[in-house]
Amino acid sequence: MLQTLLQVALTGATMGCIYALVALGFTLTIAAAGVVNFAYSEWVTYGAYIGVTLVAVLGLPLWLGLLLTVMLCAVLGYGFQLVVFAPLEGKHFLTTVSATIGVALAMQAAATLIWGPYALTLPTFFGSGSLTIGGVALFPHSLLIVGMTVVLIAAMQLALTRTDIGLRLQAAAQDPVAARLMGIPIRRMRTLAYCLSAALAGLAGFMVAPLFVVTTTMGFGLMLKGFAATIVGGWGSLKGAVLGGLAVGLIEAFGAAYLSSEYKDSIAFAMIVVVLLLRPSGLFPERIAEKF
Amino acid sequence: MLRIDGLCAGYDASDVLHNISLTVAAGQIVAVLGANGAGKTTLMHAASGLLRPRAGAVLLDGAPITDLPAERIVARGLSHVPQGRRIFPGLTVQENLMVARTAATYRAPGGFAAALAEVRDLFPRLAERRDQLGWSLSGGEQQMLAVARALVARPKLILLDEPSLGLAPLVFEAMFTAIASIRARSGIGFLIVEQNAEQALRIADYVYVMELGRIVAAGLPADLAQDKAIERAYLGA
Repeated sequence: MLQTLLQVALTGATMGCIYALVALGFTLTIAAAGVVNFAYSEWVTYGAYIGVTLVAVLGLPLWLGLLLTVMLCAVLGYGFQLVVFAPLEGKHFLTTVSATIGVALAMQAAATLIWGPYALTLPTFFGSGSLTIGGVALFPHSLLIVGMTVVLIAAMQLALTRTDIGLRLQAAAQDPVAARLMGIPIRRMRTLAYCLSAALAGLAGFMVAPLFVVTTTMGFGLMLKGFAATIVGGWGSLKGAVLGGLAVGLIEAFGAAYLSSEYKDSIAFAMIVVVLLLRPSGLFPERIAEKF
Repeated sequence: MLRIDGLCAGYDASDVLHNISLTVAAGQIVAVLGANGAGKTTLMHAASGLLRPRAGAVLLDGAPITDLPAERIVARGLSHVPQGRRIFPGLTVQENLMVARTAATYRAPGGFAAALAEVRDLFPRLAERRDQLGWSLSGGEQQMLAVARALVARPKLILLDEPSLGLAPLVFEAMFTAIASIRARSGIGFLIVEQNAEQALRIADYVYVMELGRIVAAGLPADLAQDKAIERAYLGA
């Protein structure tokens, strides 16, 4: 009983961390630039494919592959800002959203052209074995995902609240006009947000790849869960994205274990409906909206 | 110090400002009075680079800043305190002041610490609220913070857009007194646009009256107080 419970909790936490990373990157552009980026799914997918290319094709060690993947994805985010977001700045919200959907479709087709229609795989850092402690099977890769996510989110929290550039990024997100009047270059702040967002997508794609297989549609499912996490946690709130991601991962895992594994996606999305009905602003909304 | 010369500006197809010219000498407090919709905020936006003027020039210390973007004008010594104060709601009072630092903050003797000490002297209330988030401040405290944020950038001149908006009479009276004392202490000039004529006339050295995007009267506060131009601008008669 207890073992099953722990096992399910660990599975849920692992996926929850992945969803949290995905949701965090997705929310970052919403908070910093007001851009809902539906090409985010492809950023995740490309993260996994770039990882496979670097590790399985070019034979680089995994750690180096991970590092390069994150860096290349950040460059991808920079390119996006240059050719997609900057030209559309100031246009209607839906114009930008439509553009990101279009680019996502193109990128998905391009992925099939480059990497072929068959699923690829990425090895884990510690092989495929598991260690068993007290009847609970622990996959070292899962522990790595959880540990990495915790460290990363703590580091991001520190950077955002304790450094000059972090405070400026927050200021630019909260009120771009006032930020400009303080001499903050919001163009550069947005670029930074896009690069960070893409780097998080790449990291999530790379880390989740060994748990499943790498396909051209893998990012879409993850983005939908990240989207769910964003809504459950509170639209545009970074804290909400992280906690929402964990919540979606855990509920999905418990739903699969105790209700029905066939309906595990439905359970996650039913949760959005419930949260929206009971608390339309999400479970952990940003406090700042209250007086403005 | 600040000279606005033949400024025309607007949004989309319509012009809001028609050939506006005015000057603010060093250390002077100049008020622009006018009713809602006279174009006062547009004038502020065009002066601080938030809105690109269609024609005319904005000169700071003789150098044109007309085509500079807002984020680069601050460094020239012109700070803009926008209407509605626009405090960063999710940052604390201290953090709001921290993001307002510029190179000039550090060039001034004592750096940021000296600027903070000055702000504490002027608005002791802000020191008490140091770690409170922006959104939780009262309107008066937000206005203090907005002015304090401008001071941190060590400007030569501050553009102040409707400081009395939404404040109780006693609170905005104190705000105007604080503005006069900032000028007396540090010689910073002010260009204030206001609907509330009484307070603005009390501290201003020179006054312009705006009506439908044009300057319709100008003069010393004592002279204008007698003039019918102000009444007309407000009542539209």
